[in-house]
Amino acid sequence: MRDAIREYLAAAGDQIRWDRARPALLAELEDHLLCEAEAAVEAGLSEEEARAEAVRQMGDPVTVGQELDRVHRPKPQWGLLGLTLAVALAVTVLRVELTRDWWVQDGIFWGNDSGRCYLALFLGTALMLAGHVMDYTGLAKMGKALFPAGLFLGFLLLPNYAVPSSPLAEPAIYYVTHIFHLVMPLCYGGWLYAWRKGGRKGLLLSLLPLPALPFIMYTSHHGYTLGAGSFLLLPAVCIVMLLVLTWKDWYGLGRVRSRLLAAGLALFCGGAFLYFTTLLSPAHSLSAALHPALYADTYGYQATIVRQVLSGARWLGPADWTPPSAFPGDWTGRTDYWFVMPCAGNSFFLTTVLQSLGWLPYLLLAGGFVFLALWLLVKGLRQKNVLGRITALAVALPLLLETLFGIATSLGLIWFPVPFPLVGGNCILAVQMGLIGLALSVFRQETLPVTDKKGKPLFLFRPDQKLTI
Amino acid sequence: MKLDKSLLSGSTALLVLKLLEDRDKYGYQMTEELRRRSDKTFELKSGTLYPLLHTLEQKGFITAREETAEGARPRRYYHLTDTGRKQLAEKEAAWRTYADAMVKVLGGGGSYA
Repeated sequence: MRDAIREYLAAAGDQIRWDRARPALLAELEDHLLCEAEAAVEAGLSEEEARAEAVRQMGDPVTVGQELDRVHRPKPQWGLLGLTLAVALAVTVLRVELTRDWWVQDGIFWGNDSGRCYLALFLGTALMLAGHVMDYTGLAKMGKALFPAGLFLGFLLLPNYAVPSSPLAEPAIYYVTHIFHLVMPLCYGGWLYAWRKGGRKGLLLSLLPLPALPFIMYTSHHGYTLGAGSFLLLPAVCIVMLLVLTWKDWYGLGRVRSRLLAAGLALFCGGAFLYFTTLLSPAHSLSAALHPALYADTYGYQATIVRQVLSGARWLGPADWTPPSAFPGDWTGRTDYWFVMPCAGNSFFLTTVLQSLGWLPYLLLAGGFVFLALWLLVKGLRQKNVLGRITALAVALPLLLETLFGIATSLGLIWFPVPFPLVGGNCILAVQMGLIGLALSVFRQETLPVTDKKGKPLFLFRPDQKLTI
Repeated sequence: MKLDKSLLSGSTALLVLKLLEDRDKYGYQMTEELRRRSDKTFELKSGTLYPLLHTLEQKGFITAREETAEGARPRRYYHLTDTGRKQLAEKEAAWRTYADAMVKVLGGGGSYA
């Protein structure tokens, strides 16, 4: 005779359409049935009778399954999908319209190529929707492979020493560098997940590869094309992810020791940052950022120009500002706004908006980006599922930091210029939208109990599993 | 005496929240306690209980956590949140007003409270 409990669970499971929800829901029903059966055995029934009685007590499996199916359905993230598409569309239209008379140099998109911009937006939307329905838990399965593979490719393809023999030609190297910078936090998230409860060894293995990231970005052929902050932003995001997890005793070292370690790590990174910004790189010192005029003939020239633009900016309409005939440090003699402001279509994109359209469009666009990044980040931090939290953080943190640095840059506080998010007008935009889609797939499945608090998968029920009382 | 199910409709959530008021419980524990506290008048079928628990969790009235005791099956415990506690107080007050009025109308003369 077939086991009544297994039959019951199979019948209830047939009604639950969401594959990923089914095992966790059936596990809870299974526990309930086994409790009922145990009570019936204590009351004097045989095992077989007890199981039949437990099933009778539970009610119709089809109704139970249908009700659970109604509650547990993937929840499409229309709000965040819509907002991402809206800001990406706004940026694409603005980029096309505001850079009509710009140019393409070395195959890198600096100026107007409306067809390519809209194609990138179309591809980005498709990738975002695809990411949104993907199963992000694949990151756990590939955790140990993705990050080392990313580092290997980074060392092989990106640094200056690799470029002469690189199989990649320009502008592919530029695109790959940018994509590397966007995707590596996610790979690092998978790596961190792989070393959960790994003790000291796990912590060491999480920490050791970190310096490789700034090294690759610093020595990369396009590190500075992306913006000086790119080699800082990538490790910063990874360190924040590591700190968040260490603080919560990710490695099983004990709560106090973990928190002390996290605090120590934060202090060390803060110290390294101060050392970098005061001694190693005066161009990135706070003094140069706050008082660019003192360094106007060297690394303060961009901030000086931005502040001139700001002083002439209007609420609505083009800024009352004419590029001066000569800039200190202008080595070309050209005085076009976009030429003296490298990456005006990227790191300085918001300044371009301010200069051409005024404060109101600037505030709307910057506000949209901050809102999107914060919405993603807060939802990510609220995630109960650890892997989901890591995935969302790996996408939301770079987006937020790029937005904040972009706003600071556009206000003449140029400390670490980084690429402004979603402004690529090329495959980078598509990749970034795909990553946002992947983060949204986490929230789409957020009601699911996937792991217990020790990170152990909750997929208890297997159809072939023998159930014992 | 056979009780009409419709008497309970709309109050199941109140019962479930009330069961979690004093301490966290798992599903089976809740059905047993309800059976005991209602002198076997209320039988909560799992087909009602689990979808309801999961809906209340989505609304933020309760949270769930997994616990595995030594050698035992992993189990899902439910906990009443502060929002859930407020909701319980509101529903309980509304129910008492309703029950009090019913008793008066039916001529019991006494007060439910």
